[in-house]
Amino acid sequence: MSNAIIELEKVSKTYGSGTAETKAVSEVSMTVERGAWVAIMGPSGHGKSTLLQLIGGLDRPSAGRIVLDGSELGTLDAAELATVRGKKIGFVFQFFNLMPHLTALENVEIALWLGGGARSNGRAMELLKRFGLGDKAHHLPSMLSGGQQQRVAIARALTNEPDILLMDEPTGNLDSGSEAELLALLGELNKAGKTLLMVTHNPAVAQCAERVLQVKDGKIVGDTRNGKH
Amino acid sequence: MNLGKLVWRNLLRRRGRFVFTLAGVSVGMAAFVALITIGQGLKDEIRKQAQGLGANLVITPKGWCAYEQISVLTGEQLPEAIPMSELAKIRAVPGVKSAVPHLNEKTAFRNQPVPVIGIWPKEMRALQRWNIDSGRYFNSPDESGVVVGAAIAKQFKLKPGDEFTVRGKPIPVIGVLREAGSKDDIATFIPLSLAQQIYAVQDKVSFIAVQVSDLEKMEATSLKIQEVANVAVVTDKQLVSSVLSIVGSVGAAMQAVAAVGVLAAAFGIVNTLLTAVHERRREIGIMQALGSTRRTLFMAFMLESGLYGLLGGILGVTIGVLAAYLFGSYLTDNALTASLQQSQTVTIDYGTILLTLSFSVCLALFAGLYPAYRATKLSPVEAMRHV
Repeated sequence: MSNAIIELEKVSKTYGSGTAETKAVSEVSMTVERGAWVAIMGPSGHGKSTLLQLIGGLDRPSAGRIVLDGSELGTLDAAELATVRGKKIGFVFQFFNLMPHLTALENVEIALWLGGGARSNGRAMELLKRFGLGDKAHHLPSMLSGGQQQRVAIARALTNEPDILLMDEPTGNLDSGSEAELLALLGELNKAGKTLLMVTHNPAVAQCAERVLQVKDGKIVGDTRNGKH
Repeated sequence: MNLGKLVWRNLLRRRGRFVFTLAGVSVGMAAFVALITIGQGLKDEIRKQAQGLGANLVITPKGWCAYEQISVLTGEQLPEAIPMSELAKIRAVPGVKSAVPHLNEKTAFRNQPVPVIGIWPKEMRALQRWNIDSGRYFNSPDESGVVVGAAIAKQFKLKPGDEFTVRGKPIPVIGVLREAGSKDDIATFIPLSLAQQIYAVQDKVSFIAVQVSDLEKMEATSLKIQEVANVAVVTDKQLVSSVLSIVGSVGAAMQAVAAVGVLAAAFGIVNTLLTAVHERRREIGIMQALGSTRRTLFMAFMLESGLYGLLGGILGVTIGVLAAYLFGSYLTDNALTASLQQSQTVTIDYGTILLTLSFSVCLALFAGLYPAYRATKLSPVEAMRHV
């Protein structure tokens, strides 16, 4: 049995049509094993984020197959895809993307509600405490530092115990201190068995992953493994 | 966290916009309630007044020719042809508010012919809304006295205390009617029993003036009367149709004005929600990334819209009812109403309130459809779009 949790087979994504057609992702095939920590690097506008969106079921590919933990995304309808997003995947975004009018606790609880997972609201508080945010639970995001906001976002992503964490520039808006803390946290999560896939510009951040994919012009042009893992 | 909590938080996050949109809905609904209520008051008023104008139906003996029927209205002397027994039957017909018998006779007074009409004093006064110019009105249904019309009093220089003669029988003048501008001015009135006695027409009357309780059912009442009694009925169709058309156009005008306010309120909701969808497109993307289905997004915006309708409806009904109470009397105060002693023309009806509330919610839900649909059409990719 293959140990792959993410499989892409000749996946393409094109925007527009005719002469205005642009290929954001071009026939990408790749496999990510369960429990891996993969960094995706490459210049801006070369399809890294699009690749992440396709894997996360936020968008559908123009061609090709994506299999996530055994289920092929192309065969799912909109509601089933929403369930996959809610239960199997946790998203972390560059700009934290917390709801500005909800408290830290409520931002975690909303994932609990939408993901339809465990209904106990105790879990949200438990997660915040685990990330050292117990005393900030009733603060609005605007009252938290960037690092704290990103930890709330990670707590939110982990709420429904997904196997996969997809992160778009998770450290992009953090100072170096917060960045180091976050990477340490990601390392722990990876050790605990989570599969991590993150897009980053920062080679130092990419060095923390066990595998680095280089993307250029919508294609994977490099696949290296960092020896230290 | 649940749908209701999220929607409530969303509703209140832009306080200014929330307040102004709510104000729009409230004002629209208030106008709706106030105009419907005042319109209903006006309608009732017009109807009441039309019914106060006197007889709607004239009961004549069967077989009268058209000329004789018209002569009822001009106060000519008429054959006494309807037995009192028929009167009792007519009074028993449902929809008949009052039926007042008339015995039209003539007498010579100072060598001039003068109409003498035998009436039931109390019922006649209620029907014609007579006012007394001088002297007094009949005290009892068979008092031996005469009340004279204004023109007759002027012509013969009669005043209370003077003597009038009916077929040679002296009867004291007890009162003079205020000028009414109708045939009543050129007639004299004595109690029916006295008239029947003097003219020796026991148990018969010339015609019966009938007032119906509902103008819209006048035709049906007329047919019913002809069914139970052996009489002919003349209806004043023109009066009825003009009154009903006034009532109808008053209602339509009020509804049109109300509709404009309500429509503006609905557009206010659409506008606010479309802005909210645009503003929250990133959040909508995030919600989808967190596992939200389109259904949940749709429901969230519909609920938000419905809340605008409910809250706006409650506020609007409150304001509208207050406005109807405060200004209703000014609106309905005119020459027509001044002639009647009316205290409160505005009636608040729980049906109207309930109708307005449910209308407000339905309207808001309808207004929410398009924004909610737009929300579901947003791609979850919006969550990752860099600002």
